[in-house]
Amino acid sequence: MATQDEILQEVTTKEYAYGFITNIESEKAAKGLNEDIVRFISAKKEEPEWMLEWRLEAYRIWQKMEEPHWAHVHYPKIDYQNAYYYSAPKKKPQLTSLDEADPELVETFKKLGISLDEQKRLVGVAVDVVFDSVSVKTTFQKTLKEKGIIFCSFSEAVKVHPDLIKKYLGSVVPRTDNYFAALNSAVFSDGSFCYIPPGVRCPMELSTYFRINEAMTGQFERTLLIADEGAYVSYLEGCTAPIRDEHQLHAAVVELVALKSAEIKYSTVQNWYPGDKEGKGGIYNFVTKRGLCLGDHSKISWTQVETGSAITWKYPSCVLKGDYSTGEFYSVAVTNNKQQADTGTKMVHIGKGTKSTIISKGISAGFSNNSYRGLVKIGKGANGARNFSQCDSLLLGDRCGAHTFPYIESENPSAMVEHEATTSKIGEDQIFYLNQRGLPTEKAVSLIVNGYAKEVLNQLPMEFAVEAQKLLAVSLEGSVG
Amino acid sequence: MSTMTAIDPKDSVLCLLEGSAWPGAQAALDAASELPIPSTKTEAWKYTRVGKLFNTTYSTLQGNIEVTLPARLPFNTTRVVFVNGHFRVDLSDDLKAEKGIVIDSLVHHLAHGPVKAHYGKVAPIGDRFFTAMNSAAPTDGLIILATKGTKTSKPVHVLHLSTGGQQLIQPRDLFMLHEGAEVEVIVEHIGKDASTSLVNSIRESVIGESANLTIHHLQNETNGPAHIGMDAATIAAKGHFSIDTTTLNGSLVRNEVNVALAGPEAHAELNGVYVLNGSTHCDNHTYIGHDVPDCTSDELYKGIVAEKGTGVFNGKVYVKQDAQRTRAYQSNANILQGDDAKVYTKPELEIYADDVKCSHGCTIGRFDEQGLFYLRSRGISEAEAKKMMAHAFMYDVLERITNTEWREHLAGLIDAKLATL
Repeated sequence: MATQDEILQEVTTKEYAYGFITNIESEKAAKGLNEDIVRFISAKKEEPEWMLEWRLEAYRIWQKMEEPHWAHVHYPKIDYQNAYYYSAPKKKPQLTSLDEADPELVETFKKLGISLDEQKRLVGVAVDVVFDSVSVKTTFQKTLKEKGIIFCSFSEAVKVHPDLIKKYLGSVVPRTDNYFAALNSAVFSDGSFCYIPPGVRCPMELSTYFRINEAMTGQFERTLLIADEGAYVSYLEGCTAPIRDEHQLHAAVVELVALKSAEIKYSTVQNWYPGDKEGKGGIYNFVTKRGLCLGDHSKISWTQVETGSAITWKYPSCVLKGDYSTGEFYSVAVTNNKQQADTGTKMVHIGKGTKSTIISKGISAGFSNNSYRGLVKIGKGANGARNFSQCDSLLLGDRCGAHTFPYIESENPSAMVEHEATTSKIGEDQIFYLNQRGLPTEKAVSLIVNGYAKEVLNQLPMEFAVEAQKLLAVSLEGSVG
Repeated sequence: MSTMTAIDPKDSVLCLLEGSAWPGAQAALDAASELPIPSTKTEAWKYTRVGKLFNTTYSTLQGNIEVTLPARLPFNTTRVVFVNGHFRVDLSDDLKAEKGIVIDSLVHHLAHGPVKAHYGKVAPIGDRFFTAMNSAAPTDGLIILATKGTKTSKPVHVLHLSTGGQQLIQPRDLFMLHEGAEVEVIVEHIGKDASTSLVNSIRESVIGESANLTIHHLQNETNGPAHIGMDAATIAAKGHFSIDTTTLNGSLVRNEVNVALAGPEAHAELNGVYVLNGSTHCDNHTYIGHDVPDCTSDELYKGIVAEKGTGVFNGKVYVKQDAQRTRAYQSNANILQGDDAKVYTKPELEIYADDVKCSHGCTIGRFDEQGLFYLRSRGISEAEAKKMMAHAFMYDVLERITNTEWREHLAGLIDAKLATL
């Protein structure tokens, strides 16, 4: 039987299981970033004038900003002029069915385990596939249409629903918000747009598969999700990316708006290429995700399983503006080898009786650094606000780091805020107990880690929970768990 | 055309600091002119604005003014008195009574070996502006040098009186405990008509093997000066450092405690109590460095913030790689009373070793409704019930203070303060 150290060794040296490159010719913009590139992207997307103006303004804002360095991550300086900001699969004609798609592309989806066929229909998932920036295929449009739900690519929404876009784009994450949000606003390639009309409960989980494929291509998705009064939607986002040597920059923006009594559940599984054992390659993931509980009694819930990326800089947040609105954040972040993650959430309580829950589970192994950074802010008017935060860190190996940086600010005497955090390694007594029951150390560790993350995994929709468990297994199990 | 003159607000302070004969004063002055005054953009000073302290033109007075001393503590102590930072031999007790322990004004000992060896080493300037400022021209301070195996027979009561406005007072203490020594110190700051003054204090403690240093620190400066304080300690193997910081009055109070656990099995215990009203701003800022294996630390800070008070807590536990078997606990609890009271808390853990047990927790809330209801249902008035609950809330911290006489004295002061809320 392998000793615990050997098992840990194995985990920490695990190679990325999802690495492969699809050879599809793609159309690229010239290297670098300037106003012409922004114009080029906008023209490619056949965007109206106002959209181009919006992008250009963002670009000007970005130029005046400085890259933030407060996060607990270290990376070589990014040369923003040495990257491509647009790339699209070259097959141009609009597809009407999957059969018309590039067979190699379809093969890729199969490898990823995404089935755009009957199987998906059976489990009731509509998939809007983003393959390097351009939406290739959207399914279940019809079913959704009957309910009045709009679920399409962002570029389509700009053309078909300009009023909604104009009203909500940048309303949650303004262009001035931060460096990476400004960059995204200038060059975002595509993404998903979703609008659930009043009183409609979306009958299926909406899902988008993102995939970064082109070498040296930053992918800048923009997602905008609006749940009108009394609506409900559950949205899934999942990611894999193939092995590449150069670092790939990824700066997405996700905006959620929940109107009165609406509920949005947003789940993410992220397993982008984390780089090899030496920390070579891997994706830089600088994401701005924020939800606005605009109406009373609205609810936004973020669930994330983060196992990939060389660097993660991500704080899915909730602005609880409506009275009695609720924000939730459930997160499992696993770092291995030389990965660095600085992730957490912000809960900004503005309305009366607002509630928020934060459950964050960090697992660090190898030479990685895993930080939780969070903010709970209770505004002056947030009477009776309530927050509970729990941030636990598990250390597997003596060369990794686990850090907690919570900021808690309260300006209202009737609010209640609780925060607790623990950091430890897997107890030897726990392993001993399981060994004693006949479980090999490997399985025991796997069981303990799964139990540790269960609180978060339980929040995931069924289809996703399976994948998430598989991911935890890939990163840690067979090895440790 | 308008003429623009850029005046560095710290210039008025820096010119006061010139020409000091303390060791390293010139280098410190250079550092002070280089370093910026911390702003709220400086992470460590995010919630505490100090810029306004530099709008005042300060002076440095001598300490030989006539003062009325407050009543002695209700138990036996060796009292040492500083007035506006200056040592007053005439007001202090006989300091030669303790065998094998030097208790004196630090300025008299600057040329001595142990002082040379440790002065400025425990609280190096680094990028901390206030340390540079203090090191450039300390007013005076206390030296305690306890030789091997000695023990103070009664607590040393250091009484700092600040009187008069617009003064810059920079106390600088150095405590050195040799192997197995035991020292207990009570540091009390009292202010009188000194609300426009600034106290910028630094205390360095070197705790030897198996030595034990206890500091009780009381900030009770009604109309007192702004107080920026730094307590830095380094603890050798099996050494023990315990500090309790109580803030009851003051305008702007910053209590920094910076501990380095430098030898195996060293232990640090940090306790804090704050009851804030008026517009008192109290910032407890702690850093505990677990540099070697097998050390333990335990922090508990609790406070009630009322009226327009602001309570800040920023605790950081840093566990170095290879500092295995570390145990570190950190807890901060706050009760907010009054619509304009604010609490900002940031308990941090930064951990690079795996065999550790570290935890932190913090809460911000109001008095427990159920508890209040229980007491009300027993016929106790709301005011009385709240008082009882506040007392109980604070007592968690007080009961960790081992000196029962000091604990009871403190409990009395806290209860009196709570009665005014």
